[in-house]
Amino acid sequence: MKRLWNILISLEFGLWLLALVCCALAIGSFLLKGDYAAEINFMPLFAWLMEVPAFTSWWLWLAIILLVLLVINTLLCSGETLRQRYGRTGLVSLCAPQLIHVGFLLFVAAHLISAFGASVQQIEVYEGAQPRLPDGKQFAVAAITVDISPNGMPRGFSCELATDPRNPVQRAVISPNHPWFYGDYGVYIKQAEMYPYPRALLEIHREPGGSMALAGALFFMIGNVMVLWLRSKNDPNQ
Amino acid sequence: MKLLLISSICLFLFGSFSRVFLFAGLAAELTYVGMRGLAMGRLPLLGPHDTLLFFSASIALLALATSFSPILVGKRWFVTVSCFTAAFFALSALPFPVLNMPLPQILDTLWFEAHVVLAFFAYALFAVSATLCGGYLINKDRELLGLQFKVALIGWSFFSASMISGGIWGYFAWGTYWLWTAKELWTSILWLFYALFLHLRLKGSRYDALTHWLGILGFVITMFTYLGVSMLMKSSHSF
Repeated sequence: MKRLWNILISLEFGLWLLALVCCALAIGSFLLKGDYAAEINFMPLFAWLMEVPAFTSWWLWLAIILLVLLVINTLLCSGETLRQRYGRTGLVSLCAPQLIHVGFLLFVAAHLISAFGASVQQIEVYEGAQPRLPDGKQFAVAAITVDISPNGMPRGFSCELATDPRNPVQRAVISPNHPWFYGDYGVYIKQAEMYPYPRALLEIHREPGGSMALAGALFFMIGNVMVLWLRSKNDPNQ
Repeated sequence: MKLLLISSICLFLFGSFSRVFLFAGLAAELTYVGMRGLAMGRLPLLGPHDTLLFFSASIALLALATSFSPILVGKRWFVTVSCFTAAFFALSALPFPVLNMPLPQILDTLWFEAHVVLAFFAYALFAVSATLCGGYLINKDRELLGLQFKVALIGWSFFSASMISGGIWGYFAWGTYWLWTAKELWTSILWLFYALFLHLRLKGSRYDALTHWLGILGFVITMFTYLGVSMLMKSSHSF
């Protein structure tokens, strides 16, 4: 038991895990092609893993197992470092690397949540259409606009939504990079055409890990800046 | 305008023995990039011509900044290698067509620009780190150890910030901060690899040689992430 514990809290184990995750993802980048590759971004990851044959997805199963071990290793290493160094070193130098680790753990947690609950739904709409979000909330498509340059090339497009059909004054204009968010859902415009009649392709996304990933990014960047500050203090000559 | 670019390549190649020529080459390259930016009203970051040039300028800029470290005083090989690297990528940009089209609406956001600029600064710092690793392996100069670690750490920080800004852009543009594509997989590999590289230093001096070989391997992975994925694999990130 003691031997297992020593392995789990060792830096060497973490380094091997990092190397193996890199290898698994590298192999996966060559195997991920065809219909399965097209589907993976349109369904929750675990649903995809259940659907595809193991000879296509084994690298991802392997990467997940290695990441679980890496999470355990990170937690135990961080805990052990805090226990050993508490009171012997400054608070900033004690906390900075651990904040980076917290950021990493939140990234993994965000992916895990999204792997169970993410969803994408595509709908083609026209002016006057009244689609619904998956939770039943109804909205209406008030106008579809395509901006055409003088030489006839489309420059951009947008779609005006009446976000509450009972209150027609409440509007939102969506365009690429500017979705409309409602509750857990985001409505994105992917394409629009004026001919033969104004129509647009919308995507309704649910990304439940998004806020956790953002929290991870904040922790990570704070820890990272603290580490850089500490390093710049240590060797002013460099 | 291409004359400016050719003169910058000449300055890098024929003045590679001096930091003054590195500076002059960089100034000429930045003037070219700046003029293209002004002509188009946006940062020139689309297509292989612009990105290779931006990469070359980033290497020159960050190598120039690194060359002021007291540790590199009298070590002319560093400026020489950096000049040749910057010249190589600027030369590689020449055969590609110049794309003067307006920025597609999906790319017209500060998050995209931050994502790309930070990524190229990171790639350039990984190139500088690999140069220092090569210098250590040839000269066995232990003074380079601390410097290459700092350069790689700053590069990794830039890369992390690039991934975060890319995730935020992705969330607003595609509806998700992550897509399972070859480019994203290799981006993660590069990030995890440099995490490994930076942690390996904690193992002590026994691993110095391995660390420096990994520093060079890191640049190979960087190049595959940047160019290899675009040329060999299908990805939404391909230029």
